[in-house]
Amino acid sequence: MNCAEAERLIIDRVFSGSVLQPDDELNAHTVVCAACRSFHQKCSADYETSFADRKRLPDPDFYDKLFTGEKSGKTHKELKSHSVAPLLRFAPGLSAAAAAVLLGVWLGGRLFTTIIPANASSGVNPELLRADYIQSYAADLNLTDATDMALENYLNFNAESDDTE
Amino acid sequence: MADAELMKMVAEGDPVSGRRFADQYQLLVYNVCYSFIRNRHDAEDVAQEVFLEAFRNAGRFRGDAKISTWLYRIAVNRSLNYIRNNRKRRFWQELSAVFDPGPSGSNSQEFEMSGDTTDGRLKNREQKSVIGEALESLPENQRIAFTLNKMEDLSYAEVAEVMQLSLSAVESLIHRARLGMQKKLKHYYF
Repeated sequence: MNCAEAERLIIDRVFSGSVLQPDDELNAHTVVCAACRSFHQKCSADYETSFADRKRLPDPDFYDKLFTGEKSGKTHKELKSHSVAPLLRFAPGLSAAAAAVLLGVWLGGRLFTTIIPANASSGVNPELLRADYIQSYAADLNLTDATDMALENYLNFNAESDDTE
Repeated sequence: MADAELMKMVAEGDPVSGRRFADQYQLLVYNVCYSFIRNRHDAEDVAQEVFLEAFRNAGRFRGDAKISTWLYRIAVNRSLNYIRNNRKRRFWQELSAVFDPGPSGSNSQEFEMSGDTTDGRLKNREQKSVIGEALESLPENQRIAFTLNKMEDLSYAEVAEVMQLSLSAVESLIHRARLGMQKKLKHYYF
């Protein structure tokens, strides 16, 4: 047996604990090879420390802890019916996603209402807008003449008639 | 009582069967969780979660596989999820543990006897975790296969069933894991 084979066997034995039967060939090798002997000792000691809390005896109160602990908060009978736990688990995430979408829509809307009028006013002649406005106002009042003068006359006349009444 | 029958009773909420199920499989579940997590309290928490999931889903157990295979699968998945979700938390825990090991620390006596300072603690903790770190550094599938085969003493066929892989794939994973472990441990210990 060479050292590489011995190392692999040592790793198997260290991790398998006492499950494996003693290996005479490996033992013979570690007797004559100080490096492998040291490797075995260090690995074993390290394993013992690293996995010291593996349990060999069951906890008699485990079942009670399971259903009286904070984790469950339910009895075995209550637990058997499928709960809405998966739904609740995803609910905060879904709510956050929905809120983000709504916020995005709202911010986008705000942005467009700020940008569009500015662009719109810059491209349209204000004189034309005024003329359109006066024309539609005259049409509402059933005036055939849609000039400033005609509108003024109409408004002055109606104001006087209101006063006399 | 057969596996399917026991799980049927558990699904119906029978407390006697529930207790029997928990008592029978708690060591298996805890030790698998602990092999991955390497922290007793966290492993106990995850083991409880595994059982709560098993109790909730007991009705879905059809008896195609053994209860142990089913539980191994849940325990491995839960443990790996726990590790993924808690990397940051563990970093801060370990950092604070280095500077404040506490009176219940398993190595506190050694430190006192040897009069070690923070350097000694760091070295000790570093040494303590070599074999665990080597295991953690393996690719996930290799780590699962190696842990189940070597530490939980499952046969290659059982590992294949838990991991839902072919036998040859499991053999290959374990072989590569052994080589990986050998390389890392040799590098450290020689």
